[in-house]
Amino acid sequence: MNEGKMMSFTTDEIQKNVLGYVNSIESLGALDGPGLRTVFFLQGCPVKCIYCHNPEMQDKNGGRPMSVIEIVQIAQRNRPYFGKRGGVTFSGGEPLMQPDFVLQCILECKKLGIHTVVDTSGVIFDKCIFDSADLILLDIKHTDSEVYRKIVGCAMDNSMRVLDYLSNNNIDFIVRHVVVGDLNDDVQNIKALKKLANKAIKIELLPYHAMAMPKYEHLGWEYPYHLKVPSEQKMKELQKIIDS
Amino acid sequence: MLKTGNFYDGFISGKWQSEIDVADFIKQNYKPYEGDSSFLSDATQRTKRAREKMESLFLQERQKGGVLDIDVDNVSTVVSYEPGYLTDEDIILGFQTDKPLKRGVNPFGGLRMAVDSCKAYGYKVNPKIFEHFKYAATHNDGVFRAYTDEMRALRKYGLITGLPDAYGRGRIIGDYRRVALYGVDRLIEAKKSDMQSLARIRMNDENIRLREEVFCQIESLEQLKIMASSYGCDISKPAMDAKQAVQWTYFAYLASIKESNGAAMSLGRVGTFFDIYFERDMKNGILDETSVQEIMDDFVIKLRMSRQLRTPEYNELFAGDPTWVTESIGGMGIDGRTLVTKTSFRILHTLYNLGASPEPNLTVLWSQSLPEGFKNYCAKVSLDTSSIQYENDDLMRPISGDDYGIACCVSSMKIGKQMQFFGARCNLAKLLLLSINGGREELHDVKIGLQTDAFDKGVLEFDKVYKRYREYIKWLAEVYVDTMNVIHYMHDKYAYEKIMLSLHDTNIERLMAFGVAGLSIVADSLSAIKYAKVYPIVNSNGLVIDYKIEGDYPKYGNDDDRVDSIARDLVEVFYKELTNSPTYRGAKHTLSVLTITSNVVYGQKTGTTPCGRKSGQPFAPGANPYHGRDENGAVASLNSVAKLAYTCCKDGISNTFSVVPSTLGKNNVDRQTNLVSLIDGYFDKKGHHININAYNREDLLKANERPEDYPNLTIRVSGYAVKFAALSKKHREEVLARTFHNKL
Repeated sequence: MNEGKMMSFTTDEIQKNVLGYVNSIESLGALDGPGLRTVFFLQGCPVKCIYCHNPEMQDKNGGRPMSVIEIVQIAQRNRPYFGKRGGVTFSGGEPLMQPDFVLQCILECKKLGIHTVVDTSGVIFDKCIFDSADLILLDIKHTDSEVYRKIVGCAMDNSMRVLDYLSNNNIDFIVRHVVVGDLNDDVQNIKALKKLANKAIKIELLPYHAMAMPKYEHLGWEYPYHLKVPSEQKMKELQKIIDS
Repeated sequence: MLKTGNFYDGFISGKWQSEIDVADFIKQNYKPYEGDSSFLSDATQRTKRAREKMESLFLQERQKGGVLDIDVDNVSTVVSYEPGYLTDEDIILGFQTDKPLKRGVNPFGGLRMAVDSCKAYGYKVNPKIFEHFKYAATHNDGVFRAYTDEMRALRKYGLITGLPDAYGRGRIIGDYRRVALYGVDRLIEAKKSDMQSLARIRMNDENIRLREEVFCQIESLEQLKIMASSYGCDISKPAMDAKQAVQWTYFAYLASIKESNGAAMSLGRVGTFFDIYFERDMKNGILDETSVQEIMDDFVIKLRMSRQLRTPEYNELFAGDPTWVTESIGGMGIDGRTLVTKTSFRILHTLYNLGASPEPNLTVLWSQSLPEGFKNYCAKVSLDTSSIQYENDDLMRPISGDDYGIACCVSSMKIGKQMQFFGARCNLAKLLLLSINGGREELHDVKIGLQTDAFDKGVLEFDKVYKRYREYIKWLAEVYVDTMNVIHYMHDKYAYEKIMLSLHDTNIERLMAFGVAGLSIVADSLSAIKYAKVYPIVNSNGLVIDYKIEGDYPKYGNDDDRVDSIARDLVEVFYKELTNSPTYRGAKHTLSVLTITSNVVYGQKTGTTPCGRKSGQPFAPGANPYHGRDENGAVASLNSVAKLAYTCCKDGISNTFSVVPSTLGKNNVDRQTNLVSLIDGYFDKKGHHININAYNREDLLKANERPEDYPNLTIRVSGYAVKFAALSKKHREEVLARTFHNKL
């Protein structure tokens, strides 16, 4: 029984009782960081990217309140599945919207030797978290500030500041780039991305997909039908640039 | 003493020479393999020709509605048919009748089942068979002579379903390897010596029965030799080489499936045993890797073509046309060495050389300590073929030792040392409805069992409902054990499995394997009653037929102890109640949480449940959470199932897991590694069994529309694999409705 495995907490009780607002938990996460991971999708995001695939997580209000202790207990329960490389990932939404909570979760996980990943849009700069997490997944939406603003709705400065900080402080990070047909699938953009992210462990190109459509319908939002799924051929071509 | 000749040249001697002890032979002589799969050989031209012939016969069989041909003139026994061949270049010889896929008539379990099966496919049983059974009772006759009215009612209304009272009980695994290692004469000699020992015991009930049984065992061993000689093989002596070792073992298995039409006719654990012979022949330059693989491929072709004659209704219950030729692969030895050999890889490799397939039912005994190379290969094969199931060797080994095999889907037995009385399962969800209605069955409004007040007004109170339910569990457990006692008394009397039991020790341990279905529905229903507000809704006759639920409740499948503890408690309570009733021949009670493939049929027979599931909707398979109620991903879902205690469910806890491969990782290497982590994790949490299905929902949707275009698409359904095209439309839809673990 799992009740028997409750951990005893002796210090920082108050800190650990910081509440976070969690939209959902994916206990079989294999795409957000290395190995098998438990992914916590946190509620709330300060921006509204045009191709957002978790639109239900944008609203700052909502989500299920959970304590750091609860998060760590779930991580512990799932730990046997993590293998040599897995662990937990904080995604969202934008996890850095809840910095105290995320930081406490990371610190507690670290104490237990659980690998931690933060998946961020780059719109918020948080030195403490960048310094503490084992790996950062940084979403770079575009390399051109004009188009960036079109996609995200704000200036690119913060994103670049995050990238600079990660690059200059020996922090492990992976750059992720959602490729949308006719929007950012040009060779020039990908080449620029490669140059910009030269300190990243890896650059992952993620093809845009239309699977979030039901979510938009559910929210009563208009779906961005004009966005195009890139062809497989195109993705291969762009991947070649990254690999070269 | 046996005359060893040169049969055993090159083998290390040991206890296995003075006693019948195959496990000791294996231990002394096998060579663990810790490498990867790179040594494997592709199909030879001969194998490709044989495969082509096999597939063309499968196609003809499907085109004829599922049965290619029936021999209606003979009763199937070990020696009733002329030899049969697939091609003129068969390596491993033997079919159940004189032609591949031609089915024999086996009326010992029940004459009606045999007659109806023939009729359904347009055949008529030869009247001389009727004539014979006018004077001899079948197992089915015997059972119904002794059944009480209550037993009949439980059966009729589906509180207990799938009981082996009209067909062969199966689930017995002969130690087929004994024939290869010792030769039949040596086995007869040992049985004769046992007969002498039994002569020194007073003639009580048990001893008289056992002496008659051993007499029949010896007779059937003689028949086995005759059958083999019709194929030009003298199996009175041990096998000389690897090809003979496989052939002798196969003959023993073949005799069993000729003699018994059991629900599950499993093979045991032959791979590592064969490997010893392969290694010896390779060392002596008799075989190379290609020819070894060719032998395994041909052996597996023969296993894939095993057939039993059953009614279409039976096939609907079990989905497809299953025979459960389960082969257990891998595992660890008690001495700490892995039991994985190169032949463990070779048997999995047949899924590439011959294509994916539900049979034989390949079952990997998984341990955290298995060599990485083997783990990775298993994961690769799972992702490519969906044709493997996994069971937790670390959980079973301390109980069953290191020479056990899996019968059917999840049921472990020490090979040659234990047999079991198979007992299908009772419908726990329906029992809950019966208890709420105070003994009125919810669909037909008939009175069954304890009669008391119904909970038909106001909000349902957990304590009261649960207390009442436990009284019904107590009552059902008693009748269930009694019913099983009747069935197996009669099965021993009228349809004793002579050849299979001749390949067991004479003094065997017996298990009586009970089962439950609908666990997730009862757990959720009780959780709803406890944590939400559930109001019964009655029809005009005052019968509770529906429920109104106010509020939310914790659902099994989310790693939430509030409800998972209810599920855990339920199996413990049920198991304890079973053990309070004595069993026929002192068998040990065991319990499984398994639906085989009948979760659809159980659902059809069960009214609306307090969890919100509507009348007639399918159950979740085995111990799985109910479709769509596991909201936190697959790992949380697995964690819930892993909380069920194996110590109460030693007959197995089945879990069916479906995943879209792309959600397991971005490339094949990641997917394999992550699948290994997933299985390691589940078994570390003390999960017992997991089926792995890896396919895209889109592919299944297409296959559902045009099953004929996907003849080889294999999926795993609750402990068993079937060809998707062989499922009924209802079953196909149920598979599609099942939770797919893919998240954006």
